[in-house]
Amino acid sequence: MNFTEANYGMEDYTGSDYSMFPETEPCSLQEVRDFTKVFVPIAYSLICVFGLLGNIMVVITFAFYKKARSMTDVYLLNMAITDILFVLTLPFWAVTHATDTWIFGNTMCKLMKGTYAVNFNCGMLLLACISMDRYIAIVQATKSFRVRSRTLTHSKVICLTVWFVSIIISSPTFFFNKQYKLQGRDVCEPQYKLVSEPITWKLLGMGLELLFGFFIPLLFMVFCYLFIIKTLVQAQNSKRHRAIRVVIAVVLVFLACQIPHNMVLLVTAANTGKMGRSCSAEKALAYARNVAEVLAFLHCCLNPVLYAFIGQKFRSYFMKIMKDVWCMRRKSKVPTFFCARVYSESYISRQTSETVENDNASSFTM
Amino acid sequence: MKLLNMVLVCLLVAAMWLQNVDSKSMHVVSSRCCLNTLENKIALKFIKCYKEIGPSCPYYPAVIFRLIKGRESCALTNTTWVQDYLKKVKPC
Repeated sequence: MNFTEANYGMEDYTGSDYSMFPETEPCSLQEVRDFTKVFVPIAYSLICVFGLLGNIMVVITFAFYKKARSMTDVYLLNMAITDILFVLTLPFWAVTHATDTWIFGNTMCKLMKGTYAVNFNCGMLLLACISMDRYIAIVQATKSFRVRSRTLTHSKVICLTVWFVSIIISSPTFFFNKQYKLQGRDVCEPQYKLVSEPITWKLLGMGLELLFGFFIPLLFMVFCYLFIIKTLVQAQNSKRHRAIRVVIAVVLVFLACQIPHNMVLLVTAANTGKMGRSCSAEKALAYARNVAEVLAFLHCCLNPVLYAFIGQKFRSYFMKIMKDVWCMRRKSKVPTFFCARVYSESYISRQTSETVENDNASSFTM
Repeated sequence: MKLLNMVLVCLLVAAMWLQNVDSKSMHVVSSRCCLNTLENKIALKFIKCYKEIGPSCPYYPAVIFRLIKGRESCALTNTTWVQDYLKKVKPC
């Protein structure tokens, strides 16, 4: 009898008990959604345009560069290629953020999400390869000549391995992401079945992403470059200083773009599964997540800017290519003194490079 | 030693593989999320329909019940009474 009364009392909310409900009302993020509908498509479009222009110029410059390429050049070329592939996916996400629905089908869903994952993993692995290459070249300078020449002959195999491992690591993204209906609209999101402890798996995934996507690469690169800087300071060799400047800039920019994204991810992981959060804090976190993500993608179009401003040889070689293209176009017309001067400059520079450039480590990104 | 290196590399790749199972990026903002949920059971007669929460919500398993008088409340989907209700209530 007493048990029955208690059960009935719990089941029957009266009108006055409605004051308990507001605490359990859903948190509305509509203002964040309105913000991302405008901000994200514009940001993605700009990153796509500048990323395409910049990285295509890098690939063209590399293709025309006939001198001996260093291993770092090969790695940076591959990074430019991954960035081109990635920024080509951004228009799809711009449309998705603007319309709040995925309209491109299941196959494109898997392809777009997978391309992002491959770009991220490949970029991180290539940066690790660059750090290792610079470490061997500088810190182990006396021992590394044979290793480096052997590495360069196998550059195709190494880069293929990096791409292959990146695709393997990214395969779950291809597999689990799909288009399905949620809250009355099509989304392109991972979907799981038969997951008994979803919070545990979510936290594990986030932890691993933070660990392997950020902290381990960070420690690895910090280790390499601390030793590199220490060796360079001891050597007082200005030429080698110039050799490392572009690479350090690329690594620093990559980390600077990734740090906010990973910090937001860390906060998200700390909050996962936790009750009693405030709605305003959740809005702030949602804003931060979207802005940090755009910043993370920004690195795709910053590398060419770094080469142009810091890489002295890259800039001069790029200008030379532009002049050659201009002269070839005008070759059908009257050849001007400007073009003739370019030809003579080219001849003189070749003479100079043959005498001075005994060092095989000429790099177009220096 | 080579075998140990091989095992370590495989473990490393496996762990990196696992981190890609759930993507943390490229999410579109969901309009409403659940931050607190009902602790006490509601009578079934107060509930009109239910809605799922979005994938970009800070995660825990929850659902939104639309109640009479235009109100809404969140409930944990791994609670027994909520699971029973989800079989009887239709989606909004």
